[in-house]
Amino acid sequence: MEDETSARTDTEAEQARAVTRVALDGSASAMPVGPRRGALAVITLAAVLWHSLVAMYPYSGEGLPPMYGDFEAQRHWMELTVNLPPRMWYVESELNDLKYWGLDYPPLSAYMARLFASFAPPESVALVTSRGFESEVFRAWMRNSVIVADLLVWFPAVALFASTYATRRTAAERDETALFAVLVAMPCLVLIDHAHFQYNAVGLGLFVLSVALLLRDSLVPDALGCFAFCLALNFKQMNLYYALAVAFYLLGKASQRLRASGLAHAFTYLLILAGAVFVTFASVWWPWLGTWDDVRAVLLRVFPLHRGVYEDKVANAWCSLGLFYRPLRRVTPWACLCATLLASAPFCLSVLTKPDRRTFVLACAGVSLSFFLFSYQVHEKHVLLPLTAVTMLCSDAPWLSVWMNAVAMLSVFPLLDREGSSLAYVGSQLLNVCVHLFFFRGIDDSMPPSKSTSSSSSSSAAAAAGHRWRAVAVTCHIVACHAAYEFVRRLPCLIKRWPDLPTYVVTVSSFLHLCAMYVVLLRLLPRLPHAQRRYSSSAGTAEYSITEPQPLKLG
Amino acid sequence: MDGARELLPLAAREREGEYHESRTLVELAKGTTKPVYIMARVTLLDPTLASLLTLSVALRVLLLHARYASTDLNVHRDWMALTWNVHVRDWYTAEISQWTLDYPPLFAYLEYALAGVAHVLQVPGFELEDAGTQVNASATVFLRSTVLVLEILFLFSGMYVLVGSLYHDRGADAATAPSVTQSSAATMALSLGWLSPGILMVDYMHFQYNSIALGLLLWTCVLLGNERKRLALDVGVALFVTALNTKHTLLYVAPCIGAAVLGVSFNAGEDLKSAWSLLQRCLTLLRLGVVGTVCMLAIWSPFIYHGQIAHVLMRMFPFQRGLLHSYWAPNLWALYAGTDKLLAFVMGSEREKAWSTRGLVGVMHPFAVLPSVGPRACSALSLAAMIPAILLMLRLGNLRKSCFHGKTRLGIVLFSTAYCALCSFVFGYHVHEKAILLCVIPLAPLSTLAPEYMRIFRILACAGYYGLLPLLFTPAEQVPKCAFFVLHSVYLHRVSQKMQVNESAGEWLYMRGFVVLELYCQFVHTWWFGHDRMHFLPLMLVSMYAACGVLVAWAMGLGRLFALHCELTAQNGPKSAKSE
Repeated sequence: MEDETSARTDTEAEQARAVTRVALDGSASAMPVGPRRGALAVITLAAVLWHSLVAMYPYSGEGLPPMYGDFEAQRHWMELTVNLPPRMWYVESELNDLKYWGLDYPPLSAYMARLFASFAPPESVALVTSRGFESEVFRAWMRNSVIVADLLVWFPAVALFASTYATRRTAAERDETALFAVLVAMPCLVLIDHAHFQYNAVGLGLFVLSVALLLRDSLVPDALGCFAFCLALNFKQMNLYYALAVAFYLLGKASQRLRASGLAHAFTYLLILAGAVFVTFASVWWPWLGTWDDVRAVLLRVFPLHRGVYEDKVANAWCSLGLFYRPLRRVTPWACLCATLLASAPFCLSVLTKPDRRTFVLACAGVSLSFFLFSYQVHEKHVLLPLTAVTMLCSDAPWLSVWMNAVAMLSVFPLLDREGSSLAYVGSQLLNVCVHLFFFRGIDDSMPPSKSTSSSSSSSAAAAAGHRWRAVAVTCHIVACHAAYEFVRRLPCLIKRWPDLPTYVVTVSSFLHLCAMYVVLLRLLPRLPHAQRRYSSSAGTAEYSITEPQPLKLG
Repeated sequence: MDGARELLPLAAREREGEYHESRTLVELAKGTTKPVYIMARVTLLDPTLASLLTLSVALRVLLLHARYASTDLNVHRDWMALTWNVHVRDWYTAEISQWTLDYPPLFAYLEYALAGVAHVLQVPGFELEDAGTQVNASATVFLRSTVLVLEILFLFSGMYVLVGSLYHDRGADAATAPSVTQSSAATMALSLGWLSPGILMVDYMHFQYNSIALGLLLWTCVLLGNERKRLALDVGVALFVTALNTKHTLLYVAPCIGAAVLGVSFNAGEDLKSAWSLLQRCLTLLRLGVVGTVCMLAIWSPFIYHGQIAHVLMRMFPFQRGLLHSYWAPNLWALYAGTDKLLAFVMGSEREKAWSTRGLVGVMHPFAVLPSVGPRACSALSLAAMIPAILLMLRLGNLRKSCFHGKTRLGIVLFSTAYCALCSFVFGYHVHEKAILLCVIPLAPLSTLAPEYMRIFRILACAGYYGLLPLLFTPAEQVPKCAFFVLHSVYLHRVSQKMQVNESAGEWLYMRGFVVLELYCQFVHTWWFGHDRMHFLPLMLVSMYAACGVLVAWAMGLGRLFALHCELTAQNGPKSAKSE
């Protein structure tokens, strides 16, 4: 834990090592070496411990026949995929009742279910007869399968991202450990994956992997990054939330090549990337490529536009504003698309004109947040997408990351409370504060608050004070939300008229926070060049320490 | 640049990898300042400590969940129902369920108070008719929250104060490796104490209230180790009596604490030749005796009034139980019983009888081949093993802090306490595996103080906690318990690397053996024997393997005590020569 104090090597050496690592290959085998490995091992073990403790909470729909919940959905998919040929997976038949948790994730998810099913106890995946199968041992087996999936995809991807993203900073090693720890700890993801039960970390891990690869400035990692991103898309369609940012980033890189070495070079570059995308999609979709009907069946299942503008109570614009202006709840997909594109345009343009690493991750955050706020068919769990991207910025803006983590958890709180995991929620909120406090010595951020280049301690102290006030305000608001939630729930007169009122208290508050977050992300955009200059200056060893944040007062 | 650095808080600079040595060198080179000695800043305003505390609380909050309930949860719920609904006269005679009250009176009062809180908060499930049934969800959360609150009140505070005074006293001591600063040593000690997997597994996942007695014990040690305040001794004695009355397993360390009180109050440095000073010492001792007796009487008065003493004592000390608990605690007798089994197997005599040893609590099971061991022999052995620690405690007053390079009175009191607990654990009669906490927890804050302590703590904590793992047996608890254990061992390994405490080859092998054994127990055993045959074998192997580690740690502790004796003698030698 205390490793980062002792394990600090020279910046130049670190950079050189990073360069060689980039030059060699872009695979996950390029794990950092040296004493850091011990720190990463401790963090990984601690994360596994935390995950397994959260996993002791009830899963979605535990003991609730006839439909159960997401746990049963995942089990049912294992049952389907292991017993039916791929072409039957997405179509209604007498063995596949689509109304009972029909498969509605893209093929890669189904393949993973198929893979896990071959290790599952046979009675738990027997066709039709195993519906609603629950037992202590099988429960533990499923929970452990999530942990195994995390260990195989999420942890290595995050480690690779951390080592890639942290290389150009002065306190690179410290940042690497911190990035790894904060991403791996991301409490909201843990709650959804291990308490509620889903395999989101695999999809997000593929996305993080693709970002880690795309951050390197050469052709082969870019192609591999496209490959990883396509896998992410094929694992969970919601990774489309990031697609605009990725596309514009690659376009921006292509235009850089255009300026540097001419049209032919840029065109080849784009062609190779397109080839990578095409090959990935073709190989993943191979079983369905025979007829157009098969493809259409899968697409219809994967994009269920008939299911409405949002599901359940979501902290997005349509659900929250629809409370006050009814017609917004019946908004058409086209209107949603326009609003989303409009909201994500600034980020796309900025990454197109300036495709550097921080702008890219920032654009991922901004675009996915826009999609969450304005797009069609949004679930409450989709908040994980903007959350992941914002958390990836945590070494640049710890304050933003701790805020986003808290708000994301707040927005899924009604879901967790319904399932009896509210104590896990409390613990996770504490963990969020703890992790940021430990790795960033308070939740002050190091993105400069003003454009002034003076790095005097008085301005940083003022910034710290500002952050402290913001921390207190956010904490108070979240606590007030919960107080209101509990209070309203205990008033029978209100509950009788508006049974969803407590939930709306929480979701509308989260919506307000997310809007504020969007504005903050927008305001970060033009400042990034400035931040870039600060951190990439190789000689500035003292710069980082000057903005060393003050300890956080915990409300 | 240097000017800007000066403005930084110290913690920030240390964070940057600048240790106080290097800082001092820089300043000396500049010729501006005199050498700076940085004392341990054990303060919760330090973000690292604050985050450590948050993490500890977060982990415990996570463990409050209502899903997994053990028998001890039922036991404590029944006791609450009993104390709340039954007159104090009948607490130790009534049998409202199979779990009769067998803790000392103060704990019973505590249960009464907690039941009162439950009634104020309107938590259901603490009535007489609930006794013997499964604990409901809200009652479970309530019970675990009381553990959390009480632990923060007693153990967290005790550990915090203890580490604060232990590491503050170290001064410019060069006992630890130079790469470990005072504050980081203190932080590591606190993390080993606050995040101890033993407490988390026993008190939360399994459910018990060990933290109260342990916390009070730590507070007692702090007060006994305090060299300045007069009243500290009196409060310390009162606290220890209180602690003893919350959990009578603290009798294990009572000889040590008693000897410490005697040692501190009797020969405090000055010579005892003058009759006046002798009288003064006797008066102090008398005063302490009065304090202890008054505390004891106050706590026991209701039972004295109702004439229940005999009943209480009978419940508290059930000597009809056997030498070994149903699951063997990892101590000498586990090895003894294991040898017995092996001999019985080899000789083929009375095999049936011998293999069925794993029985109910309260069944005295004779050994097949070896002679049986009685409570008296066990007590005599434990007391004999404690003698070096008791002697050291009696010499405590002779200790002069300044010339004993940093091995302060507090450290020695703590170490002897832990050692005495370990003696009772290793040789005691009908010891529970959970009693290992009494040895490990007092040693945890000490462990990063000096490499010798670390060496003992490392093997004791790993072996002892490994012996606790069979306590958690449901499928859902398998990953957390293994993760707890591995994380703790890896963290200990890293800490000892940082302190430059090397592993011997045997230790290296022993630590890896845990992994092999656990793999066998989790996978190979069922694959080999199936689910219903030889189910005692993994448990037996676990407790015997852990017993080896505990015994080695005990031997190392004994060696360390002798070394302390020698150092003390060497320290006193020149002094007495000079004075004569």
